[in-house]
Amino acid sequence: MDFPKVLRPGQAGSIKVKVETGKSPGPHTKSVTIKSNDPADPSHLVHFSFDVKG
Amino acid sequence: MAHPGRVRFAQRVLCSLNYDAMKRLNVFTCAALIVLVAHLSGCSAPEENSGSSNTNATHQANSNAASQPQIALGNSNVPAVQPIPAPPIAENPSGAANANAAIAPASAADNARAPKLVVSTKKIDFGKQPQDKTLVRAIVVKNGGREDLKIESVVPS
Repeated sequence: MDFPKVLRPGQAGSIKVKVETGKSPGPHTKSVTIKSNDPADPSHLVHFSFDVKG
Repeated sequence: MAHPGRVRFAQRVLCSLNYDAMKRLNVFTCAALIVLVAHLSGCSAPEENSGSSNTNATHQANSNAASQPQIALGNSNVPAVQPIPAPPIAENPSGAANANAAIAPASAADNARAPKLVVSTKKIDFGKQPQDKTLVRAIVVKNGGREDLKIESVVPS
């Protein structure tokens, strides 16, 4: 995954996330943990959900 | 109250038995003895009551003894309430308040200066997708703090 290592105050960036749907049909949920030096939120979770057609 | 018949009977018995003594003793002593015997004879019936009163006393004692464990249970339940953390705050209100006041502004200042990760979204729904497809999505992140935000890792979980 590509992500910026350092963000200056006020600076924005993007994290590219790739998700493989796989072969098993049905609903799926995956998540990504963003770890940073933010003392209030050192581990931020982002959830992904998708439904694979059978 | 003593029955008059019993009093007379006791008086006769005492006077017949202690006739010589009555001559020597004064009238008041004999009268006191008569009254005492009359009371004793009249109070013979309440012995059962006294026994029952004793049983009542034992019942009361037992009931008290039985109630004590309840109190003990109540007291044993009290430790569950003991962890109330109010006393430590009340013990040194000035010191604790000053310590908290000393810590709070510093932490608030640190938090104000600290880096802050701001993420555009917490949940992404891709909806219905075909099999064996690669979904790509960009998550926008921003530093909302006043110091550099270092992103250490992005790990799938």
